[in-house]
Amino acid sequence: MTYGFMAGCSLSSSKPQRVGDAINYLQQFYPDLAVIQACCGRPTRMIGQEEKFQERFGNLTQMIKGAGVDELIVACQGCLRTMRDEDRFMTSSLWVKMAELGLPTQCLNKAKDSEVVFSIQDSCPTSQMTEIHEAVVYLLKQLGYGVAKSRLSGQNTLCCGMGGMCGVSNPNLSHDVAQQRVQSFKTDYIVTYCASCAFAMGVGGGKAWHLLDLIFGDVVQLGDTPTPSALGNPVKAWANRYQTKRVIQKS
Amino acid sequence: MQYSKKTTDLAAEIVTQCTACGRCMKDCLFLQNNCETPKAFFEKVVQGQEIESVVPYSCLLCGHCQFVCPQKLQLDAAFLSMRQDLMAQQKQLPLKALKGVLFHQKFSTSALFTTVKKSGDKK
Ligand code: SF4
Ligand code: SF4
Repeated sequence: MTYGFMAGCSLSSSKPQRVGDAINYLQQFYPDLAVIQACCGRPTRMIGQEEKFQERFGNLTQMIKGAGVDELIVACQGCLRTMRDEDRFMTSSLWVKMAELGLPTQCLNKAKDSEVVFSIQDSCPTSQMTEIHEAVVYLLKQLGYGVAKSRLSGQNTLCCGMGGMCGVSNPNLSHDVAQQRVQSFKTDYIVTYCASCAFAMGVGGGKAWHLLDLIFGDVVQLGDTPTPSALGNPVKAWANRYQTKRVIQKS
Repeated sequence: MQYSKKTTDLAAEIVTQCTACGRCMKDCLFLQNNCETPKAFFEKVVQGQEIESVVPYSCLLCGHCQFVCPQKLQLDAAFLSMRQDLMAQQKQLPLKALKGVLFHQKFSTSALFTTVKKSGDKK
């Protein structure tokens, strides 16, 4: 069985270092891990160009098969949803995988002295994949963080504001949705497992961390603020994307 | 606007089945801003009334509505189908802002920003 890993566009554009961390982690279990940096084409589909999307997704499928991958571990919920809708190769969610494989020992309970309680922004493309929601809660508890319940979570989650290309086609609405989403949480500390969601929560005035930062980065304490997302800065985002490519090639 | 059969069918399904219970609207700003009820909105689509392009392009395609809808109606599928019609029927992009998405997608799938490290490839 050959495993592959794909981070997806938004994570590659915002956190090259965390892509590297995820690869290192997975390589401990799968030394022959293949790594793909590519785009699933979901935005193409979402703006209504279905044929073009099919062409792009076909190319991606060939790339994955050409790399000899039997099962692709995916960090992005948009990619995962698109791949499962198309159903041309086997996929798994990075978060479910991490819950199954177990966190590195040095991560366990590392936040036990932190009083931060996180609200989870569940990604909308995978709103019906409940195993992911469970895995994320499990991982947070393994890290030692408190988790607040929210009415609009799990299957009942709401979009962060960036879904459906709304951020591009109707930035005002996208901003209002992000703000509403931030205000819907009972705690000031938000965790997302999608880089776009993390960016959106910032746009909406919230403090959001990406789950990979909680796993591989410093413990978050009361009063901490997250580093602003690079997704708000196109030059930085494309530079990061290129940087991620280098990280993969050197991994 | 002449919608495709697929769009009209999806819209007609919503018109017949939607009971205007309002559950989908409770937490969706997009619907709150753009319609009285999904039933009323998609009646306009069935009748081929002019609807600004920005409306279908503002749905977040998040699927929350389908989860809370007692009829499990797929409003997102209908809005996506409207987008497909707009793309297919117009010579220009339905919204200028979408140029950014075309650009983004072209680069995202280009050799410059993609790479494959095959299984077992060493550093
Ligand atoms: S899919 Fe569109 S209509 Fe349905 S809840 Fe999301 S934004 Fe609202
Ligand atoms: S939840 Fe379903 S039935 Fe109720 S208003 Fe929305 S679309 Fe209509």
